[in-house]
Amino acid sequence: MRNLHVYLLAAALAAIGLGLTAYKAIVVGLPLQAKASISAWEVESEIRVAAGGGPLKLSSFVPEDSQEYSVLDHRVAAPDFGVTVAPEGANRRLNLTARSGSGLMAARQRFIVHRNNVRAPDRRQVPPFPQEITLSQTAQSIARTLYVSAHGKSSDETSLVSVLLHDLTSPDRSENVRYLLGEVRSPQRVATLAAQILRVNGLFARAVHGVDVSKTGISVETKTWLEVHVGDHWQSFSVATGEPRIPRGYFAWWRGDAPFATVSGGKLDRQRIGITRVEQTVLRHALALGKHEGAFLTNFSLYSLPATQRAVFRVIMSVPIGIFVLVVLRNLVGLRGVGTFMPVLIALSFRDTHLLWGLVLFSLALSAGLLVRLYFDHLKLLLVARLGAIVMFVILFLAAVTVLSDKLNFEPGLSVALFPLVILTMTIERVSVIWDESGPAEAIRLAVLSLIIAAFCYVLMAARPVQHIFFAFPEMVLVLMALTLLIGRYTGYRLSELVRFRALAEPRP
Amino acid sequence: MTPWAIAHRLHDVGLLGMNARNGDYILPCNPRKLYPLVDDKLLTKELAARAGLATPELYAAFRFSGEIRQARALLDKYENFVVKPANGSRGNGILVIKGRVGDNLRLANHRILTWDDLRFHMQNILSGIYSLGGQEDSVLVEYCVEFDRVFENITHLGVPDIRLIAYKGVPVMGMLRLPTSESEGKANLHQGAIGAGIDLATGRTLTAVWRNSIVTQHPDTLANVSGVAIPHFDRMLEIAAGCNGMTGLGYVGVDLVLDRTKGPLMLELNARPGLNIQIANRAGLAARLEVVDRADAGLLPPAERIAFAKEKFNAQNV
Repeated sequence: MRNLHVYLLAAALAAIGLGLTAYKAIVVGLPLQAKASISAWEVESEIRVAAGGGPLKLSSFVPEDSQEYSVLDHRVAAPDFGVTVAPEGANRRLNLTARSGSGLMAARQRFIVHRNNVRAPDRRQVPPFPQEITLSQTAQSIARTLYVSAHGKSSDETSLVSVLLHDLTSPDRSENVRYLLGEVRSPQRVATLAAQILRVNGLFARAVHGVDVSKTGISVETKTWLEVHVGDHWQSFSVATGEPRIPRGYFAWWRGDAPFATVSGGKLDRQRIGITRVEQTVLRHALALGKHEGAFLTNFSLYSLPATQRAVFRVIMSVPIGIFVLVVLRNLVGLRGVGTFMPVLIALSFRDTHLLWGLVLFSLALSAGLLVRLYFDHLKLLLVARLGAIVMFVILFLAAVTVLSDKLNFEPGLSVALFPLVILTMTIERVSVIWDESGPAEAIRLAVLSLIIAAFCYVLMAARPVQHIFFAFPEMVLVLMALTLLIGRYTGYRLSELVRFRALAEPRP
Repeated sequence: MTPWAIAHRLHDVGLLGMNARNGDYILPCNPRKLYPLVDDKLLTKELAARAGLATPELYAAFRFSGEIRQARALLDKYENFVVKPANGSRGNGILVIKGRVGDNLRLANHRILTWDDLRFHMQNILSGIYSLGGQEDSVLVEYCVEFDRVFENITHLGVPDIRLIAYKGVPVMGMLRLPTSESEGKANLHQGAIGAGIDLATGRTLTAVWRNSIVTQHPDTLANVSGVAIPHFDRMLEIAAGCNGMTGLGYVGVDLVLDRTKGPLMLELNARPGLNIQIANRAGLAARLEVVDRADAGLLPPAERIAFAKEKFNAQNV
């Protein structure tokens, strides 16, 4: 009956743990491995203005998510300005204002761009008609002429736009094109004009500006292309080729005829956009997307903690695996060390000192402490006073080792933190008590065994994949708990008992 | 043999493992709150006195450091005595005083101890060095057992004792523990004492085990340790059978000594008796515990429980 209860409880815990893990791995997309990485870029824009002394207004654009790209961690760094963001047509306007400015003032935007592995057509809404038309009456009639000409040479809207762009960019341009474009033939100018021509003729069209994230550099040029609403979606057209497609790396930043930065009350000194490629883990990607979609599980995960607490929990979440190892060693194998969970604590303190140096330091301090204990034995000191004196000696010993290793420029010695020190003194106390109770041989045997178990626990607890699993999927602890419960009702033989009672297994003489 | 085959053989023998002892017998049968009754030897003595069981006479008990100054005044009149921590385990912290050398005390192992040394030892006991959890302890000083002459040839220095395991009022297994020079007079198997299984029907020793191997002779005296008849064994079975009811513990180890003038005395009880007794008897405890449970032998009157044990757990019927 008791066993059935334990089995049911263990099954329930394991089911919850594995279920949540599977859900988070498959649906939310948290990776089971820490290392998997994905394409991402860090984009930084800088606008520098020479302030005129009076009120200053600076305006730019904030990028938005699209089907193909996600924008994460967007930050505006403009310490001298008041910052507001407001939607404006298809864009989000970034307004930076200052009551009075002098000298050079800079405003920066920084964000991470992730490429999503989907290429779905952009079905964003069409802006309400009528669209803004800035062409003069003459220009409008020329625009109609150009449109009719392109219309005659095309079969549908897509090919019409391609033909129009071709007409606008071909070297042997007509008089009409020359009238509208003048001598300037930059892609911005062409895209803006093409959009105007199409709008005059009743189509929805706009120029799109952005960057090519595949071309990284400290200062990259902006790209401009054309978007036309064809059928039920916005279709992008490359200005240079007229083709209804744009290179993969084109990331849209703002739409319309406006320049990237406009300034009033000062003079634009410099504008620059830089792109660097960053290795983003799938994990961060999934978390970032989760944040965007408001996924409950990622918002309430350990990842939502501040960085310092995250670091602490990365360590804490590795403790259950160490404890589980200890339970297995004790109840299934039959090995025990000093204290119940002391080896796990020792393993934790190895995190600060690293394994090899930790082992050396522990052995040294332990031997030193026990030697002193041996000497104190002659003085007939009472228990607590004697332990106190031993612990004080160990602290002095550690201080000496640390100072010495600093003088010798021996790096690892310095990594003795508060935590290992506490664990070390506690271990010496325990070993010392065992020495009193069961003699030196038993004390040394248990101490060495504890160190071996601790080293084993450390290797498991510090393993990146293990840490990742228990940090990303804390519910895996429930699975460990289920296994621990099962071991708690295991009444079979321990491995060590097979050796201990070996004589009983031999046939009677 | 493969580990798997060994495990199977051990299971067939009915060996009780540590996990099964803890999970199937100690946890269900021995409520934690009763442990102090057996862990504190002073409490056990009181309990035994009330139940009419003989224990070594208590000469003095010290609970506070201040009282230790009077140790000599209280104890000088006794030629022999034993100093023990009330909450000690595995025989640690026990001093056996046998006579005097001038102004000093003589230990059973012929070492000399000053009264100052003794007082320091008592202070150590009070501060909890030998107690199970390391908590404050008290010192008890009691009659030094003069063991029966039967054991004279098969013991070295210390006092041999008899461990009986009683389950629900039925003695299920017994072992005679004989100190050796290696165990320094202690009767604990893991410290090097000899353990000899006992035929519960006849009270004769069976095979003996020393450091995990089967022996027939005492390593120090070379006398035969098998086939020794233990006097007053029936009285010992009676004492053991009464200990479950006395303490409320369903599974208990009873340690007895045989004094040459006072007969069997109960030394102490153990709520977590060790498993080595199985090696000494070359028999499994689990099998015997199941026999008791199957027959509901725990419900019989005391005399019948002992008869049951004698019938089931003898040399012919292992």
